[in-house]
Amino acid sequence: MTIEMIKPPAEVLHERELAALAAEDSGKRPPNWRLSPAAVRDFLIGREKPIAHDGESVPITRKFYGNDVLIERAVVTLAGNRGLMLVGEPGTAKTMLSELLSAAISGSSTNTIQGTAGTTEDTIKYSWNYAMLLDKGPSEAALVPSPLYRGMKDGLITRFEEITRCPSEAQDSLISIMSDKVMNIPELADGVLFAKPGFNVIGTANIRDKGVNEMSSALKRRFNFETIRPIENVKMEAKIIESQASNLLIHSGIEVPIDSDVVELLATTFIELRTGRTREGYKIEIPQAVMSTAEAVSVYVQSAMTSYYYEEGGLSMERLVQNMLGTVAKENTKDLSVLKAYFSKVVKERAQTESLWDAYYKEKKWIG
Amino acid sequence: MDRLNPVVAVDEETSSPEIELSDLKQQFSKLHTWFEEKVFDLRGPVVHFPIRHHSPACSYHLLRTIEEYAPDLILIEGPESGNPLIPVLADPATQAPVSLYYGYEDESGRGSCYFPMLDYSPEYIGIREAAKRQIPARFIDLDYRGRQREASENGKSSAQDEALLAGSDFIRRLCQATKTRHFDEWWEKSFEVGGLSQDTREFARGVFTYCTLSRMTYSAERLKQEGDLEREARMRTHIEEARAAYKRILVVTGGFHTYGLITDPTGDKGHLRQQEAGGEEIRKQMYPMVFTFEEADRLNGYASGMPYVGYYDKVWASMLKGEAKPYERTGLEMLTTLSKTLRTEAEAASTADGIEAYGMMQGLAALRSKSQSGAYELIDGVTVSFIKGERTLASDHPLEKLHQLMTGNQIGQVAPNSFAVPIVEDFKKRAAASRLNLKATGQHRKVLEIYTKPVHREASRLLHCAAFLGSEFAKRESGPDWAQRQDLNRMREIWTYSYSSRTEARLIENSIYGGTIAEAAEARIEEEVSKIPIHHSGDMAAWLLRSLTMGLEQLAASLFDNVQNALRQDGSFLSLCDTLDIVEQMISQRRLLGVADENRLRHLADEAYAACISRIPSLNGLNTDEQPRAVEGLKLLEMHAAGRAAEQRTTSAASDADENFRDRLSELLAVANLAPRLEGAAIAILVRIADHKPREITDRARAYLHGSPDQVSRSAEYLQGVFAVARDILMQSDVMLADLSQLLARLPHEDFLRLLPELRLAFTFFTPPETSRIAAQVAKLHGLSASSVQQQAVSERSLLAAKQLDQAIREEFAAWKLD
Repeated sequence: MTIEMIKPPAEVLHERELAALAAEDSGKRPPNWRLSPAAVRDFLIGREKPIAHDGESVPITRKFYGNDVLIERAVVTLAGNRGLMLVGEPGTAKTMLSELLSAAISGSSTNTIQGTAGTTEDTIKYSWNYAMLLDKGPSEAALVPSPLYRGMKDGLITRFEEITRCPSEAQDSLISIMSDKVMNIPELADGVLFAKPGFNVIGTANIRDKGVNEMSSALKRRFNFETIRPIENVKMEAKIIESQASNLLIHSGIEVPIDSDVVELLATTFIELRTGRTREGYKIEIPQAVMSTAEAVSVYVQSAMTSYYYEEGGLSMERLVQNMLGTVAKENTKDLSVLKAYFSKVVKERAQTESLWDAYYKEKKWIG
Repeated sequence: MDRLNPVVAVDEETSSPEIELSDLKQQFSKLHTWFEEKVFDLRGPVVHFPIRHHSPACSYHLLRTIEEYAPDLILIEGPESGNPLIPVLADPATQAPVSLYYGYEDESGRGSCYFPMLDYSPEYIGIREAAKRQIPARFIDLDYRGRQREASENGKSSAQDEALLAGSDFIRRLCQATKTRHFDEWWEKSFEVGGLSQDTREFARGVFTYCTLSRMTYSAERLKQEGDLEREARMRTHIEEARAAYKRILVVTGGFHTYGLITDPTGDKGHLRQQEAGGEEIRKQMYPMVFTFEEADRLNGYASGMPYVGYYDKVWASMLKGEAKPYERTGLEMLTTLSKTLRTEAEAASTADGIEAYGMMQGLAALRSKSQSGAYELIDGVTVSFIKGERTLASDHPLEKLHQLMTGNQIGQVAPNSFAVPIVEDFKKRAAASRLNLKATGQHRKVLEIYTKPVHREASRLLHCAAFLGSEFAKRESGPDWAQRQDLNRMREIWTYSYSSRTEARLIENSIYGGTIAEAAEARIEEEVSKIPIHHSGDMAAWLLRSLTMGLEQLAASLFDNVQNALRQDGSFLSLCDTLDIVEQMISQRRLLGVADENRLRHLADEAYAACISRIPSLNGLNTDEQPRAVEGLKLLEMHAAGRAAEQRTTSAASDADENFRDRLSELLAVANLAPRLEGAAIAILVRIADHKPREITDRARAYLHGSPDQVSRSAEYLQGVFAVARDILMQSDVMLADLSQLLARLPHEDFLRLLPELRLAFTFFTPPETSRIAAQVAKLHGLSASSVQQQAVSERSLLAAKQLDQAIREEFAAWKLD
């Protein structure tokens, strides 16, 4: 694959799989959907058998690890009347899930509103090309459509990232659109935009930041909620780190094999620090920093890259610990002592029997 | 089928399967032939209908099979000694859920298990259909299985345990392949929902194939260990015997056993028979008993059958009505009930939410290729549309409610029958008379006006009995407790209770003590009383009081004698005081307790009082720990002495009693080396009831406070004795307070500090307002205002100033290098 984008959107990344699924899919599709609900589900949770497509065999890989039932519910929600709201801790792959869903359903995951504290009703609905507006007066040509506008017009899934970061008056502009599926444009003579079938909204909200409680209950009623929980299984976490890190590394032009032992060690560390429980069942302190899977992936990728450029070798434990510091010490320097305690208790004990953990323990000096 | 517990994995050691993998394919093709020839040959003499316990789909197809095959005998997997009970179960007056309760006793102890039946249990369908067609139905399984003994430790053991059916690696992989989350969902998808649209033969083949394959993941050794082989041998024998007399036999057993019934996996009949013959002696009893949905729900710990009993019961009802889509219909009903319940609890649940949930159910059913949405789609639908925001414990309420609805709260009813256990009948009769709700599960609350309403008094007695018998039925939340002297001013008793088969089981266990609740309670109390040493009159009296609160008048009469006997032999002052106290309590509550012979009670009280008094001089022998209780006893005696004097002022007996008390107390005071606490209590009483001067209290206190250092340290104990009995003396007389204050003021500072903790303890006998009053008085004596006593001895400001000064001096010293 050529490297033209730092991070290609899901529909590009999984182009072959989507094409194969679409070709093979014989199930009933909701209007304007590219795939049937069952195929969308399979796209996300993978299939055991590859699909023969265009003379080659295309494996359908698992892209979302965790609750499969949640995926089924999410897909059915999107085919219905209400929007889908994904809530959860940071780094639980909410955004990734919403990208994958919209890529599979609408063939595009880029129709996105990035919610910020500065989001206004204009950014959500539409704004104007003022030169044209002054020149010719209000017309459809002078209107600058928002992603939501486009989604309604073309029948696409519209993603609304970090919805709870937006001021509530901006959020509330969604209410009538979500229930009536109509947008009024009073500036135009026949200014009514009816949503085309296939339109729906996937929102994501972070419960660590500004809570979902900030949403008005009127808006909440227009959404079905799915809570995404952090992964608590080392094997599953390791699998995610491995697959995502390998993707990111390939796109950075770094061709090194993933060291699955290191990945498992990393996954174990992150899960234990996140849950405050070691695999032996001991209780440990939990750092304030977000120990999400996404952070683990970035620690791995960073370490692999530094090792690749500066040491021309495989990933070294030294780099891993150095990069981990950056993640753990993000919120509070006190977290460093939590990490230190983790090393001098848990890692030290394992170092006596496992050589990898021993190498890991030897780099404790970096924590200070 | 046996033992259902989905978390049990096949253990590594025994996973050498009965059939090697290479053989499996061959066996698989054999399954088909077996099914056609040995299992479901509707023209043959024996038809096996494989089932899963409590499965509506199995029941549905069983009904059709009976219709088509028209058997002349139905054999059912159930305990063989339950056979005489079949007519009771088949009686139209019996309403599910019911169960057969099976209690047994052997050398190693007692145990019990249940054989529950719901409206849609295939076994029950077999029994009811047989009755309708006037053909016999029989149970053919073994009663007693050694293994049960261990299982029943949890208090709840089922005769239809199914762990082997659902608990294997095989299941895990099956669920993975079919995208179901666990065995129960897989079963529902394949057989419950999927099976409805199937032809009966096809359905039965499916169940047989699945169960047999599942069985093959277990080794013969394991099956033997679990007792399955032995049971199957027994069932085979029964089928063989029946074949001689009947031409068309329908056998309804768990699908897990069908394979064992059509083949002989052991080929070793002789061995099994021998074992049976050589078995230890077992005493057993079997009764028909009510059951509840709550207990039948697997999610509540009942190891057999399916979860969501209430839900499937509704599904079954609409199946019988001929509804085209019973699952969809039930789901819809549940959604509306849920919305309604939530709204009554002031939770937000709009019709739009209901519509969304219903849409979700149908969408999921289509996505999961189910022809109708089942229990799991209902749960998903509610999860998605009723829970707003993040899913947490706080927002989980709608799901919790849904689970309650899906479990249901029904209790069954057993038709009147000759097997009915008298004690259970008696209990039900009395409960009905007391208007207790035995028709619905869940906690009920009952407020009893025991003083004003005779009916409530009766109910209270019954509830006390039930609680005493350990029936897991009722618990008293509040009310007067005469035995513990707590909450005596309460006029009402509040009870919570809930009825379940557990209550019936506990009652049946009690039936060896007697045929009625009262008889059983009497026998149990007699057993307890016989363990009490003959001279412990206090304990005996406590049982007497208890038996009266339970309304056991007959027993109470004989306990009276016991108490009287014990009283005469009791040498312990403390025990005698307890007796006196309890008897006096009974006299004051005589109407409530229904005491017939009041005179006798009074006589008993007199005797106890006299006995107490006669023991007073020996009180000094008590050890220090018991002294506070002895002081309490003296206080009690003083109270009763006063009561007696007031009641019988004119009679000479009263003054005698009073005089006697005074004399004995004086005797006690004269004892050399008397414990200071007892001395304090004795003198305080004598000052009040005899001619002793109040001064004597301070005089004696002075003796301690001015005595040797040892005596000084005991002075607080003396004051504790005084205050425990007569704190009013200090409140009434300023003179005494002044004396005491003076005495304490003269105490050297060090001694005072040493004494302080004990002194504080002594003053805890006063209430806070009283302490303030005493403080004010003392302040006045010292010419201070009352408020000055409240002030801190040293103000915060002067402390800070001193600290600063200290610091300044230190610094100055340091400057001069003097530290």
